Amino acid sequence: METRIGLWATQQLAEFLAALFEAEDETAVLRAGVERAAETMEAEIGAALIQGLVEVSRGFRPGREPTNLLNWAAAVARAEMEVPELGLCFTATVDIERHDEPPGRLVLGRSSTPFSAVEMGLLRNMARVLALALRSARTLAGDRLLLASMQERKELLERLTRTVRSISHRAPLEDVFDAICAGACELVGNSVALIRRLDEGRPGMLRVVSSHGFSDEELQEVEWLELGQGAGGRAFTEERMVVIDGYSGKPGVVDHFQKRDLQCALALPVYEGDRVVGTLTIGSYEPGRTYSPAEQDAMAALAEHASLALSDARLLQQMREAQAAKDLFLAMVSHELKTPLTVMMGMLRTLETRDEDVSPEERQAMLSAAYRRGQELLGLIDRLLQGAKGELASAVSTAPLTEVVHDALDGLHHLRRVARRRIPEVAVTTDPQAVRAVLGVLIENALAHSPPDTPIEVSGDAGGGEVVLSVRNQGLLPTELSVTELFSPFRRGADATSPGVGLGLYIAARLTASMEASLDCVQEGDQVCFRLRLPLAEARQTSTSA
Amino acid sequence: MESVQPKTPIVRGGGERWLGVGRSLLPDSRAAGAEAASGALDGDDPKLVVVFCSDDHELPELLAGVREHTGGTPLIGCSSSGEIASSGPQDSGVVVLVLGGHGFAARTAVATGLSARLRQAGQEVAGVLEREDPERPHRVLLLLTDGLAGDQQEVLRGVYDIAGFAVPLVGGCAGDDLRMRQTAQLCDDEVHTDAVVAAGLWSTGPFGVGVHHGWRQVGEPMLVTASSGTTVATLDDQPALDVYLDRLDAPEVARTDAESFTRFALTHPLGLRRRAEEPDIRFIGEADFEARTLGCIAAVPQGGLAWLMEGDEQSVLEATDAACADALRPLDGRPPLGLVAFDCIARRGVLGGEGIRTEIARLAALASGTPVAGFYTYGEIARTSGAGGFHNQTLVVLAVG
Repeated sequence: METRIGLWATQQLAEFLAALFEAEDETAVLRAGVERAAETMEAEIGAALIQGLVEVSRGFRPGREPTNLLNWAAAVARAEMEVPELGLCFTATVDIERHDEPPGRLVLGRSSTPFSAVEMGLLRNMARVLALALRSARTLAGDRLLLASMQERKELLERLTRTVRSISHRAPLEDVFDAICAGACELVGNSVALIRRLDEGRPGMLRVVSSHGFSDEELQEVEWLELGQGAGGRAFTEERMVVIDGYSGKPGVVDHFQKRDLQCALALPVYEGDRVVGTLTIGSYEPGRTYSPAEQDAMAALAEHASLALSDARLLQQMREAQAAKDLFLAMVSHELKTPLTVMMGMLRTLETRDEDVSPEERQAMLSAAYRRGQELLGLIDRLLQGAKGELASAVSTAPLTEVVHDALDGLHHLRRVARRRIPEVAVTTDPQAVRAVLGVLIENALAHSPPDTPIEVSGDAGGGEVVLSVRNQGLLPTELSVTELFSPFRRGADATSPGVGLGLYIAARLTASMEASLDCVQEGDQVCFRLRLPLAEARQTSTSA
Repeated sequence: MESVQPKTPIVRGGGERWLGVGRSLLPDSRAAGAEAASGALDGDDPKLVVVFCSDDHELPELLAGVREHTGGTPLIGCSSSGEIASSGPQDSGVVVLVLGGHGFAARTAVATGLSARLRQAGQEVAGVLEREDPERPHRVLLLLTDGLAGDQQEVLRGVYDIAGFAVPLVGGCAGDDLRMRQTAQLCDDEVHTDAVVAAGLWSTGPFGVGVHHGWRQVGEPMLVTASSGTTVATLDDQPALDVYLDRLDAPEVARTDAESFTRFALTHPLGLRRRAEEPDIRFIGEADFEARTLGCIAAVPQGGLAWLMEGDEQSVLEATDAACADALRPLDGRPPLGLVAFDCIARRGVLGGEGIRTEIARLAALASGTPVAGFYTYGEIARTSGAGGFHNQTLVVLAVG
C-alpha cells in the first residue's frame, strides 16, 4: 500500500513537473500549477494567492473568486469551509517560496474527502516544483527579452546596411533623399517618412524635399512646417532626436497627422558639415505603435549616414558642376582664343602669299585689324591669367587705400573721365594687386556698358570695420540676369554690345573671394553701382580728399 | 416505428416535464430523421432535441427530417459508432431524444475549428449556461465533441474556466464507426465537423451522473518516458508501439494493419494512475507504424505511470450497474424521466453483440421502464466533482430526474 501510494505520488509529481515546464511564462506557469494541482487532487477549486491577492484561481466563474474566503483558507494548512454552490469543502494550503519576496500560497479545496498526510506531502513538493518553475520562467523571460532585443538589433542592422548601401551609390541629391526616405520605412516597417530642408525663401520654415508613403494630396498639406512644430520642427531647433508616442494627444503636433490618428513620430536633424540643414521624420499609423530603443538607435545611425551621404552628394554635385563649368569654360575659351587668332593668321597668311595683290590701304587695314585682334587676344589671356591667380595664395600687404585706388585708375583717364570721391585715408591689409585688378575690371565694365560721354565715379566709405569702394556708371543692369548670374563666367546681358566674352565680372568675383572680401551691384536710379567691400585691419582716418 | 409506452407527464413544483425517445433504421435519411423525431415527441412544448446518428446517413437530409417535426426547438447531436435506445443497440440508424415541458429550459451553442483552439472552444460553449434560473434550479451542460480533434481534456479545461465547479458536465465524443476519419456534430439546423456543440439544460428536477468503466490493470506498470500531448513515443525508454504489442502478444495483423490495430487496441486500453481507485483509461485510437508511437484520444502525461488494461463481460456489466446506480442516487429513489448513456465503443468490443444487448436491457430495467437513449462514443465526458472530467472506455450515464 505504501509503495503504491509512493508510486502514485512520484508519478503525479513527474507529470506536474512536465506540465509546468511546458508553460511559456511566469503567469502561464502559475496557472498550469494551480490547474494541475487541482486536477491531481481532484479538487474543485484551486487558487494561488500572493500577498492576499488572488493571482490565479480555478473552479470559480470569472470574476467571482471569493477573495476573503480564500485568504481565510490560506491562513491554515488544512481547514473546512462552506463554499457557495459547492457546499462543505475541505481545503489544503501550502507555501510557494519566492526568491527575495514574501511567499505565495497554493490553496486547494474539494467536496469529497479531507486531504491526507500523503497528499499534503505531495502538495508541498508540488509547491516547491512550482516555485522553481516560476524562477526559471522569470529568468527565461529575461533571457528571451534580451535575445529578442539582440535579434531585433541584428535585423535592423542588416536593413540599415542595405539602406546605406543603396544611398551610397546615388549621386543626384534628389535620389539620395528618396533612398533615405524609402530606407527609413524599410528599416522600421509600417511607417511613412519625410525629409524636410530649411527653405531659404521662407525663413523659419522647413519644406518637404522627399517623402515615402504619402499621396500627392497629402504632401500638399504637409509641405511646409514651422520650426519648433511637431517632431520634425523640434528636431531641427533642438538639434536632437525627438520621439512622440501617443501622437494624437500631444500638444504642438501637426494637425494633418493628428486628424489622421498618427500613433507615433520620430524625427532627427540632418547635417551638412556641422550645420543642421533639415530633418528626417518617420511616423506610423499602426494602432499602439511605438519605436523601440533599438529602432531609435537604428534611425539615429541612418540619419548619421544620411548626413554624410548628403555632404558627399553635395560635394559630388559641386564637383560635377565645377567639372561642367570647367568643360564649358574650356570650350568657350578655346573658341574665343581661336577666333582672333584665326583672323590674325588669315590676314598674315594673305599678306605672306598675296602681298603683291594687296593694296597699301588694304595692307594697312589688315595690319591694323591683326593688331587689334592681337590686343584682343592679349586681353583675353590677361583675364584668364587673372582668374587663375584668384585660386593662388594672394600676397597680402598693408597699403594706403588711396594708393591702391590711384594705381587702379592709372592709364584709364584717356578713355573716360573717372572721378574719385571721398577715398578714405585708411590702410588696408589685402592683396593690392588683386584690388587693382578688381577695380580695373569694374571700371572697364563701366566703360563698356555706359554711354561714352557719361562720367564714371569711384568713391569710398569706411566704417564698421570695412571700407566700401563703389564704382558708378550710368546705365541699367540686365534684368534677365540675377546678381549671381552676372558674376558667372560667359554671362552677358542680352543687350550687351561691347566686345568681350563675359569673363571680367567672373574674374573680379573670384579675385574678391580670394581676398575674403565681397562684391555686389545695385541699380541706383539710372546708375549702376558695383561695390567692393574690404575688411580693414586697422582704420586711421586723417582727412579725406575730394 | 417503435416507441416506449406512453409517458405520464410528471408534475413537480408547478412544472410539467417529459422525455421521449424515438429511433429509426430507415435507409432514407430524411425519412429516418422524421420517423425518429416523430417517435420522440411525446408531449407539447419540446425544449431540447438530441440526435445520435450514423454518419452513413446524409446528415443534412436527416436533420431536415428531424426538423419537420421539431421545428426550431434547440437541437444538438452527433455522429456515432452505434446508437442506443430502450429497445437495444443499433447500427447505421438514428435515435432522437426530446425533453419537453415547462419544467425544462435549454440553450445550445457551437464552437468550430476545434482542433486549432481546444480550450478556447470549450470556453465559448460554456457560456451557454451562464445565467441561473431560479425557477429551474437544477442544471447540466451536455457536450458532444469531435474526439478526433485533439486533447479533449483541454476542451473541458476551457469549459471549466467559464462554468466552474457549479455546473455538472456530461457527454461524449462523436464517432464514425471506427473509421477514425471524420465525425459530425449537429447544432440547431447545421452540420459541423471539428467542432464542439453544447446544450445548457435547466430543470425543476435533479440530474444524476454516474461513471464507471470495468477495466482491470494487467501486469507491472510502465513509465511514460516520452510523450507529447496525446502521442506516446516511448514506454520504459523503448518505442511505445513495440512495448505495447509485445507485452500484449498482439496478433501479427495488428502489427501492420491500421484498422486491425484499432480493433485490437479497442479492448486493450492504457490506464493512468490517479487518486481514485479506478485509474483513468486512455483509448488508443491509432498507431504510427513509422514512428512506432501510440496515439490516444486524450493526453498521456510524460513522467507518469501507465498500465495495460483488460476487461471481460462480467467486469464491464458490473460497471454498467455501478454507473447506473451512481446516476440514480441523486434522484432519492424516484424513477427518472429517462436515462442517457454515453458508452465507449471499446466496451462494446468487449461485450460483443449479445453482451451489448444485455447491457442495454440492464439499463432499461434500472431505468424502471423509462426511456433510454445514447450512443457509442470515442470518449466520454462526466464531471460532478474534481476538476477533470474526460474519460475513455467508460460508461457515463445521465439520469434525468
